[in-house]
Amino acid sequence: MRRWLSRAEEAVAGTLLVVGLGLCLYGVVMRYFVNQPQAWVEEVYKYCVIWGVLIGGAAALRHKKHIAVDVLYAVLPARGKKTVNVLANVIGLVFSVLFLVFSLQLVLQKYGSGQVSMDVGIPLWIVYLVLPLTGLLLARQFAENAVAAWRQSLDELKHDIVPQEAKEALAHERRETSPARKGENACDADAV
Amino acid sequence: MTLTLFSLFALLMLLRVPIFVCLALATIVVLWQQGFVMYMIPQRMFAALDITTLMAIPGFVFAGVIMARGGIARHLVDALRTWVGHTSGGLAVVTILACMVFAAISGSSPATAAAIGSIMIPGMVRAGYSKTYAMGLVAASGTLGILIPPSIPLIVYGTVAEESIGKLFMAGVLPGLFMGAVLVASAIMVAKLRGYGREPKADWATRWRALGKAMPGLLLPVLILGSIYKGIATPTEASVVAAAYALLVSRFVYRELNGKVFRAIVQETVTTSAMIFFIIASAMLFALYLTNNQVPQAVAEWITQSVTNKWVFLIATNLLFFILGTFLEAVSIILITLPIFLPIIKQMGIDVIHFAIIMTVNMELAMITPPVGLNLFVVSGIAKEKLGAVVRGVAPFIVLMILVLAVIVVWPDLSLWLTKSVK
Amino acid sequence: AGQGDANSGEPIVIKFSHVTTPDSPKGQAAEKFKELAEQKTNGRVKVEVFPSGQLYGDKEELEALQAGNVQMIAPSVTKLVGLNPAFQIVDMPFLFNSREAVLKFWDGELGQKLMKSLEPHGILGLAMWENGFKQFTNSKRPLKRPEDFKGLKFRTQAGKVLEAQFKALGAGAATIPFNETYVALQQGTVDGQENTFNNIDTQRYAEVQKYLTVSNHGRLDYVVLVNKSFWEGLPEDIRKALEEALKEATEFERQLAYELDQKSFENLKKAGMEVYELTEEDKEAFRKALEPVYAEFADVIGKEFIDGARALK
Ligand code: NA
Ligand code: NA
Repeated sequence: MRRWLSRAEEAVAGTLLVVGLGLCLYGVVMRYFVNQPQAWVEEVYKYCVIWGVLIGGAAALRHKKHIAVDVLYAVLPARGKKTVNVLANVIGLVFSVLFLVFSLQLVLQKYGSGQVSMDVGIPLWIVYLVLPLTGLLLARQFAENAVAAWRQSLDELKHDIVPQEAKEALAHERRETSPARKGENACDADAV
Repeated sequence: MTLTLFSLFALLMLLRVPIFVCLALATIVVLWQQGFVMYMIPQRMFAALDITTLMAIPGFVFAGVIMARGGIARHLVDALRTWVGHTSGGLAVVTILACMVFAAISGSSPATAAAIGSIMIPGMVRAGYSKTYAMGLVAASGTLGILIPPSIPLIVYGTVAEESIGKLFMAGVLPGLFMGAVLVASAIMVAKLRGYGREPKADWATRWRALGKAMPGLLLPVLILGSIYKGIATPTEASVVAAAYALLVSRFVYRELNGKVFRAIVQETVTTSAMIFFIIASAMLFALYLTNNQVPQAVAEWITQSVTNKWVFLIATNLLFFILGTFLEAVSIILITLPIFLPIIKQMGIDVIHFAIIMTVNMELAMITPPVGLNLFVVSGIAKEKLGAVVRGVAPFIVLMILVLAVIVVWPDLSLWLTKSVK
Repeated sequence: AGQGDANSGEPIVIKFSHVTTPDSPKGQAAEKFKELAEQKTNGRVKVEVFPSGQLYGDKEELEALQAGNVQMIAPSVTKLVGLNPAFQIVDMPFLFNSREAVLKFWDGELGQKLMKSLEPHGILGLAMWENGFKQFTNSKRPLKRPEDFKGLKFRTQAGKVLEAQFKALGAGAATIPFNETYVALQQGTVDGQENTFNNIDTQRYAEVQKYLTVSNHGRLDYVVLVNKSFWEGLPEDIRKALEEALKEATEFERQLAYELDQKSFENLKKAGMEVYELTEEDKEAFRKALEPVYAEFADVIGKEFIDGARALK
């Protein structure tokens, strides 16, 4: 169920992004090659891309894409690392819930005012629906990460941070010693 | 209150909370204490992204990932290696030149870093460069995107200062070339010291074969440049044109693209773009608090009132830009401080166009100074490396660029010569 | 929030946010209002002006006003279309006969009625601040008659009326972001655009556009809006003083905007733009060509407003 949800979420995010960028290209083609610029394209493609990227925020969290600072973490003992991991995700959860609540207020406010977008006239409450959805998805992911961090064994954490140079050397060596590389980049660490 | 904001931000960062949450949550806490109406927070974050020119970021990330996974990048890098791999720092020089060419078509630095970095970082690493160095080089060279015209910050500057945008663009050319030349010189020196670029020399047959294979990729910059200069696409739209072309080449020329690869490409584009967009949205929220409480305005006004010497003023403004640049985003710095500085710039006899270039170089620095530096995030995202590693790689370049900035400040003619000689 | 008690020592703070530069007529008038308001209330009111969209951009300032995070804004009239489509009236081509007609419209019954429609949204519309009539520029050919527009591509601001206007003329309307417009005009991504003399001048479009058609075909104006509950919660005497201050600032703004717009016209001529001024006869031809726009939008906007505006001299 959880995996299914994650997959659906990533499929929706990816589709919105690709459709959005595709619309942008359609706008270029219509303006230059057909000489019939479509004024609605800009707004719609932008909303599609923003929706896709915002929905993808939780997936980015799942794949550890969001940037965090490791200065303190790197020097902590395993137990400290575990505490920090749990705490950071709980803090993220708190933020997500606040964001969810504020976004719901925003959607309700826009629903009440009936305000529509400038170009195409999409009701803004629909445009902003992506915000509470983003909050919800982030909350779910932070919660999941917090639980995972709670369950992680201390042994695992001892080797969590490999010094940068060592890692680079390792990666370099691995590349040099594997002659057949074609297609290998298809399955990235992210996909695991 | 501002102190609370910064301490909270620092504390959250130490706890390894994602940077976007650090920025947003710290701002939420202080805004809450001021009785701010909270539904404006998601609204502001959405509005921060609701800017068409920002769409170049997912566009170029998409193009970059396709190139990296669909064969284009590999063939390009192979060709570059056979041609310049044996020269000291050859690939680094190519990286810088590629950034300069790309800067000449794009008005945005993160877009430049994303487009070039996704090809050249893996290429340099494979040719034996340290990844830290490669990342720093791309982050730094990528900043040229806003100095070499066209440039979005210069357009914003021109609008606020009511200066000719054409002239501002022209003023950026020589400093941009100068900065590029300094980067090239440094790359050659570093390569000599560390022994980068000592690959076996390829024979001519191999070179031409590699070049032939890389042709579709080499045509890409021509296509992007051409689509903008022929008026087919805006620089933002050019990112999507590039992505579409890369998809076609990967699918039909190199035949390395299937459904599975495509899904992986899209997923990486979404998550990388999300990382960058979430930070932009949160950084704009952070900026909202500072502006709302007139913090940068107060400092800028204090400088204009207490400084009467031209050189002291230039040093003070540069310092202020540098500090603001560590955590604010380029366009908001210009919008907030320029109106306050403009009258005194004119009064002190500083050329408004020269000041534009000084400011732009500062904005370049802002993109590579932690904790909030868009190029750092972009490079970290495309190279899949920790922010710390990127920062370590970029640190020497920050020093180098500050030296270049000093030259640009004391040598107004470098910026102004072209604007005077070309009418 | 943040509203001090009139009797305590703390001044009442008005945050006034707008998106143009401090030097623009709107920017200068905002400063003028600040000066007058603080003077007329003996410092019991403090006005903080945030220009250049540095606090809120034009996509969020309405919300910020409704939320009470700022007390005063001055957006383009067209930004209100999302709340009430009748505000599209300013985009209706060749509707207003003269500058005087525009001022009469906004200061008169019809303008007031439009402003009143904002009240359910928690917004009071206090005054119209002028920007000016829009003109056409392009890089291909002089635009004298409707036929000349065929096949050209224009950059427009968002809005359905503008799209319909160009469509009726056989031209295309492309929405290109404001800060990419200069480059788009330079590279020929679009052929032309429409704007006030002052905007064409300050945005330096003369550098990349050859032909200017003085058409006065549509309006770009601003409305000064305040948060309703904030304004109505002010002590009577303070509100009166602020209203006076705003009245003076409004006169100042309109005069300044008009003068600057005319001065910019001179600048554009000096910059070497080839100028054509539409004759009454040309305008009739345009009105005829643009009839489909009226057919499409008359009901959306309301016949009352359109007829009323047209009747003004
Ligand atoms: Na550029
Ligand atoms: Na920075």
